[in-house]
Formats: sequence, C-alpha cells, structure tokens
Amino acid sequence: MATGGDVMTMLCDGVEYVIYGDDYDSINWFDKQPAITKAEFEAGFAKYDDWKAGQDSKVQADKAALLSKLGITAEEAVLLLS
Amino acid sequence: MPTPTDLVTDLPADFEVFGQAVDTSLADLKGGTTGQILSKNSNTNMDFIWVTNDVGDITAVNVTAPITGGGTSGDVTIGVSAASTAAAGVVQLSDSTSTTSSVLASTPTATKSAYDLANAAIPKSLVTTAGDIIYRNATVPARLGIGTAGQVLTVNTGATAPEWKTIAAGGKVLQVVNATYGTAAQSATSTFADTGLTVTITPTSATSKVLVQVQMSGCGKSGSAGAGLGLRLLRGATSIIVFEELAGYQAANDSDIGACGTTFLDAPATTSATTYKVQFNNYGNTSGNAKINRAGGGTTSTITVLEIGA
Repeated sequence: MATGGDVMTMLCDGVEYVIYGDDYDSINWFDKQPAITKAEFEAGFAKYDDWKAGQDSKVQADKAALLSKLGITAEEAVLLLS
Repeated sequence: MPTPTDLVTDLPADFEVFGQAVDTSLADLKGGTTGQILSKNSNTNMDFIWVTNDVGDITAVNVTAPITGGGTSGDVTIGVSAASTAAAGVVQLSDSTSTTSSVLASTPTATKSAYDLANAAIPKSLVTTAGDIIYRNATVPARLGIGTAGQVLTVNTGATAPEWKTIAAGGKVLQVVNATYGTAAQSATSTFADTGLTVTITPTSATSKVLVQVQMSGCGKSGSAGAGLGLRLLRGATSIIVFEELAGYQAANDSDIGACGTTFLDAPATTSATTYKVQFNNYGNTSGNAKINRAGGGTTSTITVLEIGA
C-alpha cells in the first residue's frame, strides 16, 4: 500500500519538501509554490503501484543491458563490487 | 386597789383607780378614724397604733412576655413562655455536648466536657507561619517551621524528630520527561526540518545538567546513492549535536538503516521551560529521500530527558 512519501517520490522528483504521514496538508514546501495539488496527491495513491512496477522493470532492464555491455554475469558483477 | 385581805374598802375609789388603769392600758385603742385598722406598733404588750387601711384588693394582673396569662377577676393563672433564638423565656438545661438544639441551655457539666476537650487539644497558636507543621517531641506537640526551597523532610540523626534538610548535591536524577512520535516522515531537502519528536523540561535549578536520550526509529533512505539521512538535536532553536549526517549514503535505492540515536549531556543553565527536539534532512537534497518512522513498520521514536542535580 502506497504511503504519502511514496506518492511524493513518484510525483515530486527534484522538489524540496518534507511530508509527515499521508497528509497533504502536512507537506512543508519551504516557502515555495506547492509542486502538486491536493487532488493530484490523493490521486497518486492509486497510481503508485503501477509506477513502481514500471520503475523496477526499467531498473532491471538497465542492469541487464549494462551486464551485457560489460560481458559479465550478475554474480560476476557482485564479486567485482565486493 | 384593795387586796383580798383588806377589811375596809373604798369601792368607788378603788373602781376609779381600776378604771383609770384600764384606760391607761388600752389607751392605744382610742382614737383612729373611720376605715383605719389597728396595727401593732412594737413588740411591747398593748402597744397598738391606728393606721390607714391602704392594702386593698388586687384588681388586675397584667403581664408582658415572656410572662403569659394574667387577668382582672377570679383565679388568675400566669406562666412563662419557652425561650427561643427570637424571644426570651424559660429554657431547659442539657448536659449534651453533641446536640444542635437552638433552644436548650448548656449546663456546667456540658461546658466542662467541652472545656476538657479544648484543654486537651493542640492549641492553634502553636503554629505561627505559613508552612509550619506540628509534630510531637518527647512530651508535647511542637512546631517545626517551614524549611527552605528545595529542602526535604527527613528524620534527624537521633531519630527523635523530623527536620528539614538540604538534599546532598550532585548526581541525583531530579526529574524525567519522556515523549514519543510515531508518524512516518520523509524529507527531500537538505534543509533541516522537525521530525515531530520533541519534549519540554523545566529544570529546577540553573546548575542542573540535562541528559537527553534520543532514539529515532525506522530510519532509512530511498532514491539515489547520494541520498542520506541527517539527524540533529536542538535545544530551542540551537543545534547542540548532529548525530547523523548521511546515514545510508552511497546505498542504492531503498535502504533500511534501523534506529539512530544519541545521548547528550546538556547544560541549559536555566530554570525556564526548555524544549529539545530532533530535526532531519536529506544529505542529497532533492536526490532521493531520507525517512524516519518508516511507514509499514509501525515504529515509534522516543526522546527522554533527565534533569541531573549539579
């Protein structure tokens, strides 16, 4: 289940803020214009899971492409970084 | 006057003498006026005097409260009404020392009972000053004057009486205040912001130290490797220690760090209400997020402050 922090991560990348709990009104925008509206924030809870799945897929695809480019396996990459 | 043995008597003359003697003896009966009555004039025999009969019949008996009754003829009855708090009258005596009656009068017996109780009581005059307390010395009740600020009541070295004594200085925990905060929070800025974990203590002495114990639970980060959790402790608006600067830094994606904490001995040098709070930030600013009380874990952060006597 998405949290307020998850929704902010999804919708407010690159924005300065602090959020407490799942309450839009708790968000501290540091004297700047709110980056999203309350409606956008509340709608984000339903969209988060799909967005997260897409993010995870993209990360996996990027990793696979990089391993292929390097010509090593994932285990070899772990060994390399250890 | 002739005697029984006299041979020759002069009766006329003798009778005249007798008559004069009687007249002389009864002289007081003569005289007087109409309506006068004869009254004894002295204890001497035949000493009377005529006096005016001024003792007449009672014609009326008039009464005023609390006397009741009266009249102007025949048998006259009078009485006395009962006393009350509103009127004088006859009262009933009582030995009771517990009655709440407003019409009974106290007897010396009751008065003595009350006196004996009062005489055995601790006199009010024994205490003279606000804060005085009463205790019993070896024989009688005694006064113990109020101590000075901060002193405690204890028993003297002889274990014979109470006394006020100043607490031995140093090393004593004088008070403890605790607070918790369990709402998840997430920061995407390098600017420090309140975590919500805060506590206020009012030191009893300006020389006291305040030991602050903090545990931030559910710490973590998400996003890029450049993100990291920073934590600092403030007294009022003053940062007194930064106890995390970039927790989770260089860790990719979501990372659970766990609990972060500090123990800090502060010297606020005040007896005013003093607030301690924890702030957090994200070292990487908008790169990723720093998190506390991470949602889903049900974690709660705590802050405890102890005033330590100097």
